[in-house]
Amino acid sequence: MTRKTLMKVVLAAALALPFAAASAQAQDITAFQEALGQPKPFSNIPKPWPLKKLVTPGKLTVGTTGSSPPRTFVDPSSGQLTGSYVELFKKIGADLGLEVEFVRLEWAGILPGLAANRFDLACDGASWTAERLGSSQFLMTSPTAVNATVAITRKDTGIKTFDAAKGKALGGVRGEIYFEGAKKALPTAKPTEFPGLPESLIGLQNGQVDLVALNLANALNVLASAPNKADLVLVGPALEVFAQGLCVNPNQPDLLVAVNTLLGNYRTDGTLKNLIGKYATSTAEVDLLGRIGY
Amino acid sequence: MNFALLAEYGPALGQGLLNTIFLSVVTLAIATPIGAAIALIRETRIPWIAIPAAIYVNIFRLLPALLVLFFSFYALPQFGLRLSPMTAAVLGLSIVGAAYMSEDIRGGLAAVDQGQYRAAKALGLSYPHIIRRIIIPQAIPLIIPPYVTRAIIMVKATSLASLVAVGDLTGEAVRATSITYEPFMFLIMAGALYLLLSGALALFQMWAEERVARARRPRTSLTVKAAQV
Repeated sequence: MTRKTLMKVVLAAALALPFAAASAQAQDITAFQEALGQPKPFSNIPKPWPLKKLVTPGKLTVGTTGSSPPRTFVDPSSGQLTGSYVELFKKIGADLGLEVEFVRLEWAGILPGLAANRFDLACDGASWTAERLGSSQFLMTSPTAVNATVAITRKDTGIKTFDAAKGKALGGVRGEIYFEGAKKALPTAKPTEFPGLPESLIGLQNGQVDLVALNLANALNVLASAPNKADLVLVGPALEVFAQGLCVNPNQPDLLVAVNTLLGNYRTDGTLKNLIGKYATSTAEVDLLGRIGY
Repeated sequence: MNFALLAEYGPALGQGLLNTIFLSVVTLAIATPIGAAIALIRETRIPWIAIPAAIYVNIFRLLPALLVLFFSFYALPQFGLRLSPMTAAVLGLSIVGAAYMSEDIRGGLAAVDQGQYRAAKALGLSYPHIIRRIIIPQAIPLIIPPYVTRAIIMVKATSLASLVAVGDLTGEAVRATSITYEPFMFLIMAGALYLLLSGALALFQMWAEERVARARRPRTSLTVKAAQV
């Protein structure tokens, strides 16, 4: 073998090594998948789950606003609290062997209520932020949805992107991170802080604001169901993308572990997707959780 | 207490406090003369002005203030009148406040002995003269406690303005709470600032009552003797 031929062999071997390693990894994954079988929920969980610090023993007390359709709202025909997250809370309670008791109150009272030990579980999908994840007032569960900051405008404004909204009258819900993010992204916009989403949308209809910043799930719901939906249009692309989860009483780390385990199971067996799909036109908020690593 | 968060949201809370003070002062400045005028109009017992005044008072006294505020901000644009959040709040709170305040003032006017009216009238004094020189000086000490109590209620009622997009003290505290999920710190701060504002009014009431009492206190025997001499 000449020196030149030897060099060629060594080079070829060096180039082939990564492919060989990748091929071996792929074989391992395939073997692992075959051994695991079909996706299935993790079943080796305590039954009943020993939760030591429930607000009321034997009951899962849940704080909810009842004013954020399609996740939590009062059915006008029956007067009953319903929605995808209301059903999710009921499912969690049932799987933990607990009776679920809902307490309806304004959003402003939800977190003080958790911190004051009045509820075990709350938040109909609260977006993750550094401050919230680090808060000592409550614990956040693993994500139940992916959401994003977008806006809605009237067709007559001609606004299609956030770039086109510079200097315009921007509305949103006071304290919502979507509105706060939009205010930062559009420093020249004139902000008006409304107490809630319905009021923001009235302000948009009245011409008091040119666009309303909100989360994508709510925006799609408004565009699908608002009385004036024909006059409205989405503003994008999204300014920010968020994970959303539930909030757990800060005194109950055992409940956090239980809820996280169940949420993982609901993702695996399709329960979460089915609950969302029952009340919304799209299940994208669950389907696209992989975009943020979940 | 998280001082880093307090430093971050302190300026916004300060601006909210200024907005609350502005709203309180302007609302009281508008509602007081309107309330006084309505009370005097109703005391004239002249039907064609007293009855509309009574209708006004009873409509706005019986309606929830929040409903009036919502109407002034969210409904008036439907009729072509688009007010800024602050203007809508001033309008709504002043209209409602004047209705309540007129009743407080009217109560003070009505508490003055009717014999005073008759005596002054018998002396040939005109109605404006009777009101200005006889009735109002005697009614003021009676009006001060309910007036200041009403003023304190109106200052606290400015928190409703946060629901019509005004960035007042309550609004800014709720905003900071919603962003940081710190449920107690900002609400306690806001409560302490409201206590200071209302406390200033309560102190004003004590000062005013003391001043009126001093002015009405009988002169000492020495002064009386000096006067006799």
